[in-house]
Amino acid sequence: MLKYIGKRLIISAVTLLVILLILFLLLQFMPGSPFNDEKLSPEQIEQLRAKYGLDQPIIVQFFTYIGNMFRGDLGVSYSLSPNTPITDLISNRFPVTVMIGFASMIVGTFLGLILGFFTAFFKNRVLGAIYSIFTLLGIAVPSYIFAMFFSNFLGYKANLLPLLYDFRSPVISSVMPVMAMSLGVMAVVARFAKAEASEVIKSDYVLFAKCQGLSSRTVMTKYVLKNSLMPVITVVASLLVSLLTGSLVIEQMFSVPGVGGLLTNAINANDYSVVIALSFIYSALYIIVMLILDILYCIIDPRVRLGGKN
Amino acid sequence: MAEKRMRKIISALLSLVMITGVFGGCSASDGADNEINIALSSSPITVDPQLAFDTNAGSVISFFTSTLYVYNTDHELVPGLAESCDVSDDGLTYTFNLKENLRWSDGRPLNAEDFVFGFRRLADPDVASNSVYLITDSCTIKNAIEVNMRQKPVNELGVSSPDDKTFVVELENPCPYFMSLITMVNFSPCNEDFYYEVGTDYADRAENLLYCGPYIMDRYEPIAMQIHFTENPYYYRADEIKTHGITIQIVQNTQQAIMCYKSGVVDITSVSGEYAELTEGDPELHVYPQAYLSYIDFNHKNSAALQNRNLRLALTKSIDRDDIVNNLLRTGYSPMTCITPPDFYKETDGTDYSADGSRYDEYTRYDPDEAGRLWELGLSETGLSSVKLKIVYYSGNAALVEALTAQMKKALRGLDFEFRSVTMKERQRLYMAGEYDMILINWVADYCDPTSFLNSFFTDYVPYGYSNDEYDDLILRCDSAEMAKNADERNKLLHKAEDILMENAAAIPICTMGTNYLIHDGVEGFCLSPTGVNFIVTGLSKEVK
Repeated sequence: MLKYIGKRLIISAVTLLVILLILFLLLQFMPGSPFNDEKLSPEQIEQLRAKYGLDQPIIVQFFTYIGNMFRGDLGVSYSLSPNTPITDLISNRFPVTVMIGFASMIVGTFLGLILGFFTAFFKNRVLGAIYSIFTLLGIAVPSYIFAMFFSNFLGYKANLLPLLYDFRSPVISSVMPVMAMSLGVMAVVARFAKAEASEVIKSDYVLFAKCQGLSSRTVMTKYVLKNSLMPVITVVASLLVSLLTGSLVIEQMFSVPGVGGLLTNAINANDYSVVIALSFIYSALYIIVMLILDILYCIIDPRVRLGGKN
Repeated sequence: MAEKRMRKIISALLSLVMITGVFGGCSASDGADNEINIALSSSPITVDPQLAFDTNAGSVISFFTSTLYVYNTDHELVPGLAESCDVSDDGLTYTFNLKENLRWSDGRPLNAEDFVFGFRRLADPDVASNSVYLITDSCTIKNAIEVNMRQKPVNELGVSSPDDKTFVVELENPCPYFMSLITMVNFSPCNEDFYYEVGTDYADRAENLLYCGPYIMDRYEPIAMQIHFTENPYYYRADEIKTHGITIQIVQNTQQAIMCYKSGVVDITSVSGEYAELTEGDPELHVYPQAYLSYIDFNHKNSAALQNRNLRLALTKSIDRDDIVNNLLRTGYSPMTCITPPDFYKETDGTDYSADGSRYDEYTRYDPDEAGRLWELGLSETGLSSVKLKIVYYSGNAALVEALTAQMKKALRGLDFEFRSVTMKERQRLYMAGEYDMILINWVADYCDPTSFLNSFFTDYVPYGYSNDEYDDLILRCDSAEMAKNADERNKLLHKAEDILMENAAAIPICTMGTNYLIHDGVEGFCLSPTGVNFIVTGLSKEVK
């Protein structure tokens, strides 16, 4: 297992380097430059390029960047917030996005599991209808529509929840963003949970367990629940990455100071250094989550053998 | 058993109390005094006054800084941190006498040396301010170009402080609008000692700045969503400050901003885009004029068709600006048939320089029949049977460009377009590289003078732009020392220069835009500078209900 993890870590590091190089090359083809502003003369633009080292050959820029990165320096922003270290920009915003992302995932997964499993266990018509409505809505309707709906009814008309994120009251002002983002998660999780649980309930070992005279509660928790969790974990993990990168629309709507809007703004402002840093972090995040997932598989289901040989 | 259940219930209740405690504590943070909450649509890219470049930065920085001269709420230029100013006969040397007892927000004295350092920072190539053009181009301070190009050291910039209370600026050429220019936040003072104490962290946190304006910023972080200000007791007009605290809340979503406004979460909000019409007719909607012009510039060098005056005139006269403003752009916009927008520059008798909106009707008024006739004439002169023009524009203006081109195509036979919708920065690159036939430009003036717009048509200001010797000569004469002293005569020259542009259809003016704000009843004293860039906030007040 350790050998496997080591191998995966090396592959991950190489992948990240390749991603970084591709990002560098792609940005060369991006139209415009961070400094093309109406009122600047070509000489002044050249001055700015020189100040940030953008006049150097691309390969020099690449290696300088990697060197700095190992020292924990991701460079400074060129045009989004000139001269601000990117680590500052991201470290201020990442916790907020992560908090809302995690909260949405936990709430969504929890509700989704309950809805999915209960619908599978008790083949009840009312429950089935609730399940269908929620999963259909959750999957078909984008989160910003929910956000608009909640803002209008809970925030504006009923005046129950704050319309904007406020750093002084992070919990209550995260409620609406979390609600809007967790509905989609809930729908996806509920569908997977229901499908998987229905399969497991029909399986021979559950029938055997029942024949042994185990209580239906024991059968459900010990056999069905545990065995149907695996695909749910896979889907939750991949959802987690998208939740942690933040939702541009939701963050904009509730004025959440997160990283969601940062990447889009950076692309629009041709702020290369921010684009590279964020894309790199997202890639790293994705690779790490996938690695953890593989290890979790192994723990939950001993049939999965890492490395493939044994 | 019962005891166990009871314990469970009690612990659940306790957790509930704790959670409500957290929530309750949060909602209590809303101040009930006369604090004012303002919603702006995007955060400033910087709060370093010398680096300020965009309108958002200008607005936010104007809360906490002050300049030598300032505009008052009647849009008159009055002394700010300066007491008076003497201008030399040749119009090249400005000597500012500072007010007595000026202080920074930490109590240290503010003197002329702080202005010297502030101005030097603006020119310094290591600071690399995007706004350096204000002193190298708009009004050239002595040696500013050489300093910025590293041909001379920063301390050779033409600014000096013979004593603590006297600040002197030397210009390369006379600049009649210099006093208006220095109301921009970029010309704020900067304390050298403090700057070096803070080092590279300067202006990246509220505590890493010194303040000399009506307010002190006490909460800020780069690309902040919330900025908070409290009054500055050391401000020279501190007794006029009526509101003790101001919060700026960045609300990017206009719909959300309007809901916040209607539910009382914010007192003032900017309203932009298609949402402005939601508030049309609202008595609390205020439209502030802005020195803004949206126009189509031609490629005067590469496009064979656009070298022809009749074809350019035909394009200009084929646009129904009223239709576009009333049905597409709506609230806040007004049609423009000249280059200098109204409400930002005055004649010597106090009338608006651009009051007569119909003065160029002959060249710009919508007349599809006349446009068609001129077009045919132009086609026969150039020997072309059809014309295809490449139009470049920022993607956010796509609807406007579609409407404009549809009108042109309807009026003019054989006209076709190639559309190029791009980002702002790419549009600028294409503009400089001449890769366009027509290009939509949105221009905001920096200072209150028609040259802020007219300079764009000076030969080689834009590589593929308009060029006319007579026009260049008029503009150069406007900037002479002689004209600086004779405003009447100078205004006549400016009008004459604008006449040349319009007669020759150098560009197609489309519209001007005001900035729309919803302001609650009871909030008084909110005002924008004549260019519409800075807020004037000293007298801002809110009636507590």
